Amino acid sequence: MKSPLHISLIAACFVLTLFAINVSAQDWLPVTQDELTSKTPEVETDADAEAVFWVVRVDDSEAKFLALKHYVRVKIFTERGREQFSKYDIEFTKDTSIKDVEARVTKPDGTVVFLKKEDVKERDIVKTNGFKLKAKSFAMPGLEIGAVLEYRFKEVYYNSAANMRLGFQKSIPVRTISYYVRPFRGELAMFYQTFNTGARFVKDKNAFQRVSMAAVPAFKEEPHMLPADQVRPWIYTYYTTLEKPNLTEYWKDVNKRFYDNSKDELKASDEVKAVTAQIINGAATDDEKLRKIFDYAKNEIKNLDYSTGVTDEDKKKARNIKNAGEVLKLKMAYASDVDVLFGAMARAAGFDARVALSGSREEFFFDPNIPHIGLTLNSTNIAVKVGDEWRFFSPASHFVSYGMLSWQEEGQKALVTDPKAPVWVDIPLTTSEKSREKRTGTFKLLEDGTLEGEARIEFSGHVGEYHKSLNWDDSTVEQENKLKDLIKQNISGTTEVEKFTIENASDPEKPFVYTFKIRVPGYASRTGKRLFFQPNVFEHNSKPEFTSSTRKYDVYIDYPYSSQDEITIELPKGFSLESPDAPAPIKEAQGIGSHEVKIRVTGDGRTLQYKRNFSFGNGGLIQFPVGSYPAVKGLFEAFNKADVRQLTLRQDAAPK
Amino acid sequence: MKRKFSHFSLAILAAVFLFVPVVKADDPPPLWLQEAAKLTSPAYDVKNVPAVVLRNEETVTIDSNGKVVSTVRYAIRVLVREGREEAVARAVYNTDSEKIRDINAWLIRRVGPTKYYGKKEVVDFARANNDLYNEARVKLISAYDDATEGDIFGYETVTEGNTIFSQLQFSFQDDLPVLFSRFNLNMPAGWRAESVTFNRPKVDPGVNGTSYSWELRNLDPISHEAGSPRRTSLSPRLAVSFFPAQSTAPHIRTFTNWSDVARWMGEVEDPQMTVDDALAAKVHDLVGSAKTEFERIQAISRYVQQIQYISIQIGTGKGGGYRPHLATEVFAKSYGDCKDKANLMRAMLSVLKIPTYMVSITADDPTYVRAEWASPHQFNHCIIAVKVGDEINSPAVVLHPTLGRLLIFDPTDPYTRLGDFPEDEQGSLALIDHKETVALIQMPIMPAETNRLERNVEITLGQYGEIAGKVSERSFGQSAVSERAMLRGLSAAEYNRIIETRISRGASGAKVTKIATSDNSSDGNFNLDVDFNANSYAQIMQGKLMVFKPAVIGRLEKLSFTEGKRMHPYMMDAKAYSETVKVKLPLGFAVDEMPEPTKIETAFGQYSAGYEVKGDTLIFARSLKLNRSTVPADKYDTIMSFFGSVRSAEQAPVVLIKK
Repeated sequence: MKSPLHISLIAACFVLTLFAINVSAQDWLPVTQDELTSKTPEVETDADAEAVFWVVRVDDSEAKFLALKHYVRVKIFTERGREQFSKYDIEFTKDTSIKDVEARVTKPDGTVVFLKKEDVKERDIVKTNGFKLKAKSFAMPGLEIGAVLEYRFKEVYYNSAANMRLGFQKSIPVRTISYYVRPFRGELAMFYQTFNTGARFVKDKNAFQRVSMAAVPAFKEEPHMLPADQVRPWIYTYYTTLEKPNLTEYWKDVNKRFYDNSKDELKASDEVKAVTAQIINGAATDDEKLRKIFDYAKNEIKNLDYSTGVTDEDKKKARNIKNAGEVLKLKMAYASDVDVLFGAMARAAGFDARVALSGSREEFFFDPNIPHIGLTLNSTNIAVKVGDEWRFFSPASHFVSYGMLSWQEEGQKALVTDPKAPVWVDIPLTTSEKSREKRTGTFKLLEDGTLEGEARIEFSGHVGEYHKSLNWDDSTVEQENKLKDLIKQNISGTTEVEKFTIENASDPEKPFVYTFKIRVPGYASRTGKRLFFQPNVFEHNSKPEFTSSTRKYDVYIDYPYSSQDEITIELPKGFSLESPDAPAPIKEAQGIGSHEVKIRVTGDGRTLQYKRNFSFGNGGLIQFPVGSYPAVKGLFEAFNKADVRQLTLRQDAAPK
Repeated sequence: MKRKFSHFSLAILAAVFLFVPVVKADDPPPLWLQEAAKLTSPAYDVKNVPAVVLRNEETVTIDSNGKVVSTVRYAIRVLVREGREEAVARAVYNTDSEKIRDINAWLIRRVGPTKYYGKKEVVDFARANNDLYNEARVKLISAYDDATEGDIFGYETVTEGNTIFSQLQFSFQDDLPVLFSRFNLNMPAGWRAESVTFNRPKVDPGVNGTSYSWELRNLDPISHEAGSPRRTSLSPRLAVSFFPAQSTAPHIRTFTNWSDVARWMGEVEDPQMTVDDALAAKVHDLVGSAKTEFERIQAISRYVQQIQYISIQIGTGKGGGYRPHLATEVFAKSYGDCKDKANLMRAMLSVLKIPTYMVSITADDPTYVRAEWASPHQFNHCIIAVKVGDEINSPAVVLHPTLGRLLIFDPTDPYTRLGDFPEDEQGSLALIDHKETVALIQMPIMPAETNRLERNVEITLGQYGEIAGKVSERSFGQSAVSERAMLRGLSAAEYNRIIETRISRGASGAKVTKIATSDNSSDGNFNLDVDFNANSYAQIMQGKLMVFKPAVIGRLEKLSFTEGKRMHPYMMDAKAYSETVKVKLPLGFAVDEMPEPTKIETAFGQYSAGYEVKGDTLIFARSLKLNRSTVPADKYDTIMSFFGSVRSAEQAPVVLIKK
């Protein structure tokens, strides 16, 4: 039986591929005249370099090792392409060997420069107790613009099996990319799962299976996009029982294993029952009971993943925890065991509480159509049946409020483990009003354009979770630096912060709060008899969210969010507001985004009151097809335009 | 990446087998660390001091065979959470000539038991992972995950090695405050040592026979401030040269003056300047159409610049870091490091009978190299000086007292063209590696006019506040280098995105319809032309006013000044820009208000902005010139005032009114 190995070929800097023709160890495939003379890339016109072919032969037919033969040919078009391919590191660990490293460069005039064996350097990148990462490194000799370079080498993994990712999208465009796989023939059979591609394996010679893609563009990241694994084409090969996996049976089996395993963990021991009874004493409703248990798990159990100064002894004890009773006894645990205690206490309180499995929207979504728990499982939490509904809890996520999960866990499927069959439930997204930035400010605008005053910003929900995660482990000085950076980034680089407080940075429930007193020289601009200023102080430096005119992938935001501003500005003496009209409300047809500003001036004309309500992702709509990019971009430009809208003050006529 | 000469060759040499006691996990921390832990630290004026160094001590023992043992003892107290990052033991070594004989660390907790770190916790990694091969490595122990406020972290390392050099360096301080810092040197009988102190009045050693000891106490923290000199020019450093008794160590290289260093460097470098038929043929091919001396040198410079930078460092502990690969080998492979490139350029120019010299310099810090310590250890980079005639008139030419007019050029910088010089090397002291050299020479300083941006903007403003515009930028010198580096360093899509962002930062929601670049290879200028439009640039107010900022792009918006009292001088590079914006006004509108013209003149710079209406066109012109300056800390308010005024001028709007 081979041990499983997960090889990330997508991430490897030195990537792999295969070509449809067998290549002997000595002979290179001829470089064609077209390849040498071509001046422009075929797949993407602005590419710096393009792979002519990218071939990897994965030979897993031997019991003792897995061999990967790589052969890649790249055409260089620009200086940047030359730079990118000038040097190679083939990294490997102690159970791997790298053999037969060869490379050559065919210059545009047809001359060929071969890599000499002595120019392949082997070095230790990092060594530590029981681990060594090595590399075979070489520089491509004679590389120049217009040249065609080729490299090939063999990787041998000992006692490993081809449970691996085959990535098709590289950092450069590829004309043809092929993987040849010869599986091991034993008690298990090889299967594969495709992602974001229609490519399929077909039979090839010598018991190899081949899968290819043509004209694959380079992978480029964009702001606000889905995780890479959700958009890039890739295939996962894996061994399992000889029968083709049946989705229903697969998940039934997974469900059973997880359910059975959780039985002991979530068992409500006598001590758990006693403590639970004490805690929920007086709670009238199910929600009150769960809230009390949730608060207990969060506040009374030291969560070592969110603690400082943890000793080795504590770590050792926590690592050996086997069930909820031990968590209760130790009064400390790693995050996942905090959830276990919550589950056990919920059971002790009479609830049906189960372990729920899900993924991470930051990495890879949990998908019932993918029969591979090792790929998709990225998180667990506790599902509790309340009435007819399953509700999800995770006090393990220390800064996530009651009733919410971390944003990565929300908005996707969960498998609620069950003694009979898996229960699939959608974990809801938290609504935009719960993830809110609430900003209030009382300011005074001086005649010379300086703004001064006090402000308070409250972050709640996922926004609060973000700020707490960023600050909890910092000293007060570092927290202060982050606050100042935020103010300078959002208001003005010249802002002088005169006084501030930071509240609830490590409180698991309350909103994260900043209060500060600022002075901003040059906030308003003076032109002759007028003074121009932006009433939304908090958005003074705001820029549109999207600037690129083109887009390749869907727009995707992490979670629905909102903000609410209330600003009062005392105006300078000797100036009067010129028609302080507010921007028109912005709300697109589906109500996904909403922006409304109200401006009012006090009767004496001396004080401006500004209110703004903004939200986005309403209705749980957080993914927008690439075709709608112009509309989304335009919407955010409209929001920005409204936020940075200026008002004018006109100098009063001097008394005669 | 530059040539790897060790800046802190402190430990770096030698190999003497001394007895080192084996430390056991349950042993108490060594006495020196227990004593250090008792020290109390004062309150510091500077905010955010993460940790205080209780002890920073290195003891180097040299024997007459050039074998060296270096023992480092270092201890800190974590003052705030971020100070955990300082709880790290590091020992740098070169595999060809050194080994770390021992490395042990301890965390004395404010609350809880002391933790010992030994071999199991050591991580050993390549110091320069980007190099194709480099013998410099680091052994590291990190207590980051364990340390917290009030904890004491200390470590002791023992390094053994051999040296051919007779010079050592020691930093009394990095940026943390230090309570006690000492460098000890033990030498065989008859040997002597001399020292130089940088960034501090001279520290005289305590001498006992042939044992020397330099010591500083109670050093205040060095704060980080934008625009301040590099830390290596602020923190106290020690440079030591030792001199063996003549007969005992003839294999140890000593340097008493710059002439010694230059001669030795020349001896190491000159034999590598080889030429073969292929290389000579390439030279003739490259200069085929060149008419002047400058054009010939330029043709060669461009070729060498595009040779791929690849660093292979072998034999560094024995001087290998100073020896280039054979020029013919570098030519055949088309790659090499800085000294390889400079050497190849020398070889190629030798085919044309143009005399050249290797120049040793330190990159990235023009104030690092000091004349008072003659040592190759002060350099980490290599460039070239080309002897030129009077017809070449360039600010990159320096006059050498004996070698005459030298055109200085850095072939490792792929973007700075011949006749220009990289900003972070300007004004630095450098060594011409030639037997006639007797002193360092100052590298050229390029005037602001050579590093400038000229921008012309033409805009048509519509009745609803929309604009259509054309931007035409011409960059020169180091300004062109920035643009060129961005164009070359980014993919086409990324570059376009950056330009779009640059435009839309000024004109929100702008749509860029054309981006055209040209890199003028003859004069090194870089041109960028952009067409764009934006639906709502100007803001309509009250249905009759239209307000807009005539500085559409590149206006100064974000400023960040040092808070509180400025501690260090503000260093400014020379640069200039000028811009003319012509705004065709919408039909039916006239200018109601324009900002007052601005003119600011200071010792370090000038700025002006002015407005004029000609017919239906508003003309806005602004210009900035900054001189290469070092503004003293107590004059920092002049910097704030200058840039504050520039920002106000560039944010000022023009008001149009419906006729």
